[in-house]
Amino acid sequence: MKVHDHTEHHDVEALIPAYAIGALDSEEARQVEAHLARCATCRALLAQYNQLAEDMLYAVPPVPVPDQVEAALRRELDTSPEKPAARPRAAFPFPRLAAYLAAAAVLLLFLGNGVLLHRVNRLEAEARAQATALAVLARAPAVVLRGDAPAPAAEGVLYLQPDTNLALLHVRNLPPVPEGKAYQVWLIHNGKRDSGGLFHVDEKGEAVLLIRAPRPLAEYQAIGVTVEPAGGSPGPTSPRVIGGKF
Amino acid sequence: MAPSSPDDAILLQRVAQGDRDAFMELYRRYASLVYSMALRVVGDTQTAEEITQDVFMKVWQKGEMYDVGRGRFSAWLLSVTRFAAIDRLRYEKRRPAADATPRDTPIPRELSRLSADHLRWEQGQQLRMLIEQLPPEQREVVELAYFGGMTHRELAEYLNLPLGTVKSRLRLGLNKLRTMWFAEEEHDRP
Repeated sequence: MKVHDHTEHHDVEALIPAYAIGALDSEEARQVEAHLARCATCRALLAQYNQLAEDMLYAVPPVPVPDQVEAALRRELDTSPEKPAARPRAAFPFPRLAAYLAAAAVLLLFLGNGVLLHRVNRLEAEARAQATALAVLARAPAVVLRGDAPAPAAEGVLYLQPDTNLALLHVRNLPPVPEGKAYQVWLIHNGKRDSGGLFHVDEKGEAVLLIRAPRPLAEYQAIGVTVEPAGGSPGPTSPRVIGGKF
Repeated sequence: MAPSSPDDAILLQRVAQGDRDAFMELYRRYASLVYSMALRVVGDTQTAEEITQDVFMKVWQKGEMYDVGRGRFSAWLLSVTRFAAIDRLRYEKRRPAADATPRDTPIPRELSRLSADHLRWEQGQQLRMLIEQLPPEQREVVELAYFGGMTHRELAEYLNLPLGTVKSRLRLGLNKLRTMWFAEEEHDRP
């Protein structure tokens, strides 16, 4: 590292805590942003401070809202113009997922009822499966996953039906794993970890995995992903790279 | 499994279609969280009530702007509230409020029943206690920056301190808080 880079890194690192809570003046904020674009160490540090800043949102003295606020709100609703007609649902947060989902739904249909696929036209089945998958997904509870220190930019969503064993994990911004390794999903049930399967990410760091859990999803409290040998491990052997709580 | 977030997405879809019942359900879930944040920033009940009402009208009018992929609805809602309250402080050129409530105040029973994300709120109270443990001069700048929305320069002016002093107090305070907070959280991570 050049002396200039080192000095810049040192200066910016000291500004990251204030940046995360929005306390930098604009010139300093620009300096931090320029450096973050090329420094993974600082991005990892920022991810921690961002988490702290989010947790601080709940660090306020709890006070019950006075009843008159609800009454005032109802009055305002009564007098405000009607809500504009609902726009089409905003773009799906993970656009590529729709295609994966359709494929997954077709696969499920195929596995679950092979006869059906033989009886109906395949295209029709795919169209129907896609519609079903999207309808299910639109209503499916979602668990948001965030990257940990090894992959702070990683993010993901787990879509699940709590009373079933099936869930769909979509992750992105995960780095590729070294040769002979794979990502392994862990579902945490009262402190014990069930494997949820193995996956690799594509060149964009993205992956979609259909998870068949050993128990109904409602019985799990959290999900985590670690890097493991390509054949999988009986339990995690490396730090978590991404995870979330149900 | 947290009972809150899954249904929030459904309620928001219904709100986007103009469903008032869904909207009032969201209000019941989160009004006290929103009100508490507004009150923490502005320090007076009347303004906090107005901010709460404004924030929920935004949810009614623009709730579909919340993107499920971006994280928890309550965090989004509280961020909106925090910035709305800080804007109000700035607009009225008022002094930021101090956290005057004793730190060991339990979450009132009616809130635990009403509030979704109750667990997050309880964790928030632990974090509040850690903020209390900071040296007073660090705690002051951390709270003024976070709940008062002040930048380095504004802090220096407000506290009549050299800019360098303010910067290092804020950095040291937040660094200490981060270290204590993640050490505490570590045990329940998968």
